[in-house]
Amino acid sequence: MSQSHDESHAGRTSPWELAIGPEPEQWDDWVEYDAEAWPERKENHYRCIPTICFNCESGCGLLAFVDKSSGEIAKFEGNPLHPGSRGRLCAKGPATINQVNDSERILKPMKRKGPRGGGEWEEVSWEEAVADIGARIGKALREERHDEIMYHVGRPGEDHFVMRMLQAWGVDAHNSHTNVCSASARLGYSLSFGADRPSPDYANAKFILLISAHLETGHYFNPHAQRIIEAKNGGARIAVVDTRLSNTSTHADRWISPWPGSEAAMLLAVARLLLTSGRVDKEFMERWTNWQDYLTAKDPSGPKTLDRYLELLAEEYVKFTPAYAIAECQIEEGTVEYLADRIFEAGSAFTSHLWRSTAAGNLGGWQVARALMLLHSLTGSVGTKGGLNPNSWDKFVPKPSMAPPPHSRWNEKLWPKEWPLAHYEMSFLLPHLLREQNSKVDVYFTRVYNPVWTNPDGCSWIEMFEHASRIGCHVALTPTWNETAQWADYVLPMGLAPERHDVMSQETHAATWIGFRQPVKREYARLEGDDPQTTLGFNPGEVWEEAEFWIALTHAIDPDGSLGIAKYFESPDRPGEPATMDEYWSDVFGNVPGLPEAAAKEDQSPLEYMRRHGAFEVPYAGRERYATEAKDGSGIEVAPGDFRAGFPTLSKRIEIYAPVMGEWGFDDGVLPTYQRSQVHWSAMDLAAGDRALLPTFRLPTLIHTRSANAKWLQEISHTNPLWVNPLDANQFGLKTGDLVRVHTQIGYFIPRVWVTEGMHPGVVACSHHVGRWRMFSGSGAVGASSLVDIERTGSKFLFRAKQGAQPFNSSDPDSKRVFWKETGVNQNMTFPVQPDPASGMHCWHQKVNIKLAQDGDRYGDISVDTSLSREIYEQWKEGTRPAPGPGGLRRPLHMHRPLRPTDDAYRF
Amino acid sequence: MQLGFVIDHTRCIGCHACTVACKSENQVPVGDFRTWVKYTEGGTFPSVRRGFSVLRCNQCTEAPCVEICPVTALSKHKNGIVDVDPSVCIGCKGCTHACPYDAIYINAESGIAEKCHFCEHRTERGLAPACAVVCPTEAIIPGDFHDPESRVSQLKRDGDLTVRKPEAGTVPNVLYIGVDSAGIDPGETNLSKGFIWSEPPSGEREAAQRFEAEHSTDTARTTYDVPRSQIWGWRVSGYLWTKSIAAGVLPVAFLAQAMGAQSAPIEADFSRFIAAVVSLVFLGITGLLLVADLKRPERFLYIFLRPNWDSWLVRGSFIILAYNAVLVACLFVGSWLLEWAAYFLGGWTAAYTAYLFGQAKGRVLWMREGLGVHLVIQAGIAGASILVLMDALGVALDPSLVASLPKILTVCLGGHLTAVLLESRMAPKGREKEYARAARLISHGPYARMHWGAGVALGILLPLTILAGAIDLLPAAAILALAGLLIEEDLFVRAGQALPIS
Repeated sequence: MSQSHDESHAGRTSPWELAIGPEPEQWDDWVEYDAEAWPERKENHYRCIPTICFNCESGCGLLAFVDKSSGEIAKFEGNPLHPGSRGRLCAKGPATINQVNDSERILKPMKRKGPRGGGEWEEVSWEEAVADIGARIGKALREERHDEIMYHVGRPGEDHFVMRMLQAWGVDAHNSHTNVCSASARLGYSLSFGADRPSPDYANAKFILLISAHLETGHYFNPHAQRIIEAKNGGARIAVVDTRLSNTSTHADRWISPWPGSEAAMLLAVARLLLTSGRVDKEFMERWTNWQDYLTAKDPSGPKTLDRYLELLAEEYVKFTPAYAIAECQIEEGTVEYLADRIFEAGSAFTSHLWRSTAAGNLGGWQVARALMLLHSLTGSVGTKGGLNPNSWDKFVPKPSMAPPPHSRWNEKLWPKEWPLAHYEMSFLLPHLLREQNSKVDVYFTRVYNPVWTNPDGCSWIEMFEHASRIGCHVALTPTWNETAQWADYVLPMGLAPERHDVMSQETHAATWIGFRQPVKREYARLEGDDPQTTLGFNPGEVWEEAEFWIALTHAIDPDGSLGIAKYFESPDRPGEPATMDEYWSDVFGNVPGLPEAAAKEDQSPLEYMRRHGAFEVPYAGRERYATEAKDGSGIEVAPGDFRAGFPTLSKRIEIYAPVMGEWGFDDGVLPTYQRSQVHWSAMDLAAGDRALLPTFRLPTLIHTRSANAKWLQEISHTNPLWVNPLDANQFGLKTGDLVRVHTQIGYFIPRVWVTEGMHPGVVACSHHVGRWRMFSGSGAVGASSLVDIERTGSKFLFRAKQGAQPFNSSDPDSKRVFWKETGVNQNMTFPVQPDPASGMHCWHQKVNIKLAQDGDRYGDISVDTSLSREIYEQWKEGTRPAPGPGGLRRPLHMHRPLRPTDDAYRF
Repeated sequence: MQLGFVIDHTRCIGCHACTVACKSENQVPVGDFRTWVKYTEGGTFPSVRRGFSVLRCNQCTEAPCVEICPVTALSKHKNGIVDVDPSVCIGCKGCTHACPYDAIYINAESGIAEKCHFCEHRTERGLAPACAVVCPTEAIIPGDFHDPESRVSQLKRDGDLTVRKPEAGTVPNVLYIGVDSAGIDPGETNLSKGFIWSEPPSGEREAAQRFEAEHSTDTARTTYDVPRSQIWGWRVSGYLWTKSIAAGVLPVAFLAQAMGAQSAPIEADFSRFIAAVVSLVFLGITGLLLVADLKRPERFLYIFLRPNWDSWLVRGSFIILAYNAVLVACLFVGSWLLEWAAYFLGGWTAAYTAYLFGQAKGRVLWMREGLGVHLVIQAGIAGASILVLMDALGVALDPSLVASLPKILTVCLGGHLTAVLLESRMAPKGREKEYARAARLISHGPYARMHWGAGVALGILLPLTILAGAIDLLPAAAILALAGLLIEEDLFVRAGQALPIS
């Protein structure tokens, strides 16, 4: 029923007799009957304007229906021209209209009155805010306090703008959320094939191994789900590895529920079985993996043959028998054999995905990605049809013509020497690092980022914000209230999906595309004949957008151009003047291969094309790109005189053997190996109530702290009970609905219990997608957060809800219909930081102790002692192997990092 | 033309996009749903399975909602779509009970019934419904089952497709591929106290489900569902009770008179007059309760102005109207003709509700066989009890009439007891399994204590004991019997709606 979108995408057509919506040529004047007036045939005329979603990271194409009678957006459907999402959406896409019309959204820029965190605000003009912040940054730059500027991003939603801007500013100021998200998987993948993400070709796969939940969440839920189901209906088999029963596992031929953190052992057992049974794609291994380096290092006197290597590899993994895997991973008998059989059968059409999941949960999680890459190497399923691509092949990031030079600084607040191999900034340690280094961030931007709520140890963040000597000025750029913004000095409202300009590209499948997010009402005005010069005024209230804000700010930092910064954001035609959006994006889109030609065919400029289509499929460079001939002699010599491009690793081959790990102190990491997690079963005294807590899973309907303002999502999902297997529930005498105390190493939280067979015994789980709170009325969604009191004694915090979700009066009659009361528990606050010594990833899974709730405990209580979190931080730091490494480096030169400085900066 | 869906659960990923796209397209209020995704879970770790089921209106070929709608607001269109005309709907909620699939709700703002109408405003322009367009995996397939070439017809031919509750006789036009039976048969699941990521619905339905969970051998359970509220409440229980009285007093007076010794015409005339007055008063209250229960009471007259003659709401209203006329006539004259008219129309006033409830295909308890007779017996109890109390309060009823009342009350209470004891055997044909679950709620479930303790022991057995041995406490027996009736009718109304049907 679905069209094949294998190689090219000409737009979705209906698979049924009824149409899916307007054809692009009908977008300028599209008529539908008014649903509310029905059965009266009242015609509504719409202009359909494409943009891209800003909820999760998939960047799916939205089509905004602007009602011509009111000029307001009536609804969002999918953009059929978008190659990734193909006109289809998850629940969060159409719910964008809730976010736009949210009666509680922030409509004006605000400046703190009274103490930080005191809940008092006054309105401020954009001019004043930009001038004040710009002057502050300008002063810091002129005083060589470059490392006191920091931009901290949660969901970027764009691919180059800010990075280029920071590069122009010359600051090592980019901080991300990567280390609470995907750092471990990134390290594993980049060690293996030089790209830090996998891009599975699901649609053509014969066997799909998901160590993830891509039928419900994550990178890239909707586009991936479409293709996984397409493959399934075409006969592909699916195995899902997830300790808790996910929605994804409902489509699995086999659901595998291992003890969390043991996945690498299972995968290595599969590898061993393939090796010992001779089921190996030797041709691929011979050419494209660095086996010779391994033999040179480990078996210098032995024969330099692939067979010898395979023999030695099998010896390395000798202990990983199926029986070992059964015991170590607590998986069902036959699992290893099943996986080995399916993987071998599928051969080069074996694909997989791992992104957060176990990699993000466990110490040494990065080895899971490498173990998985070992399986792909053994089957030759890298870069093949139905296999796994490096993401860099399936993503295209267009940029403006003028690139600022790399900066030459190394900011230790982001890149402390203890974690030289971190992927990437040690973001979640910021409070600890500032304290340890006794340093300060003078201007700290949080941008769609909510560390107080999202990060582990949120109370240490609160303490950090409370010290003016640590944070000079905190600017929260956010479309909607969040916990962290309560401790801001400026809260600057930024646009949602239909209210801003961004370009995104994601590796959703074996193709490359770019999507354009644009302010819909501004574009509407333009199409109606206006000539809008700014997005301000087209968004609700005084909501602005970042692209224009950053340009204005850059000019405020460097008003006369003397810092050499402003020129990167200057109008090409009006020297010294800030670039307009038209000028900026015209330049960007002019640089996209194939786009000027495609636009010319429609008699449009590249920018016009993107405004009208919302997306463009960039000509695809094809699969098996490593085998591209390298005529200039670069790349690797696979046969005498035969040079091929290879992979973007140091050896240009897939590095199953990664000597760099040994050189930097991780001797056990030169090969994919298995390391027991901090929540390994042997560390649990089950009888005393110890359990492993899995706190990382998402819900299909929500997206972190960005979707609380979507009533249609909140009414579906608003609690995060603790999943408990009946065996465990019986041990504790717990029933579904009971309150329970979950003790972590630094405190406890009080959720309700949900007894379910869909949970591995000995392990409990709790989604991190709900549990919102606010200190003040007006600083959070009434229908989605609890109003809390925070009792403080020294380093001790006790959060207690005064009021749950409840009906309220607003311009939206639905606010009176809020029927739920409980809003979940913010468990992350009670987690200590647990930075992996290699990847720097916060190892999310927690060893917890379960106790019955005590008298006086209330639903949603959170208790934390930050002095304990400092102790745990010190313990984890002890496991690190600090720089300098070989050559006096801070980090291996070939290891990528965002906002990469000059090579010199890598040296101490 | 018969538009409908095939919903392919080998593709559905339970993402709720359809739910939200529907809300966006049709501006469905928070708390109400035209389509939703139920989650179920079954099995034991590690052989455990989560199931999704996309639930919504079935655009039934034999749509019970159309049949019950008193004002023809609901109709089946030429394209097979079943929809509500908002300019006509009186908000009587009959359709919400007629639907065996929980697919209709009352919009709290407008007071009008709403449901999935297959996005008819879209299909009229050749567009697919919003849920189908949004679905990431194209699991929702819309089309015309009467067109043999359509995708849905092909799928219907090729596959082993199932429907929800075929036994309800509605002939659904939403067909399922690969759906877990637990997902479409609420009888196969029960509810735990908690849902996977939302507060479970609370209230009677939950209590009922909890009871089922505790007494069920099934392992499957519902882990996500949308909230629902009880729709018919005290006004309807009250209507049943006052209607029993109205239907009973005058006919019982005639009957008692006929059973008694010959008496003076003046006394008989007065008895007839005062009984008719009482019946009229209670019939008036009945009418007021009915109108008050409408969400659009100002449209009450539509029942008479644009009646749907298939609906027992309409037939019942005309019966009440006719009975009302007889009652008025009895204020002034007495004749054998009026006496027999009072028996006939009083009986029908009591009994028609059985046919109305029989049209509530979503509430099997109400569809009980023999309910009509039982309602007539109840009217007998109510009538006799009221007359007993009138006598006790000093109303000058004909003594020979009064003398017959204990006998009538005894016989009726005996009949009532028999009917109550036979309830579990009176399942409507084809719905036995569902009926047994509903009946069990009253006999053993959350309503059992009230039913056996108050409805039966205090409302039937104690009055019968009084009637047998302590006749001077007759007024107490009458009060107990009346209270027992009210309790039983209220339990009947509430328990009937408690059983989860979707």
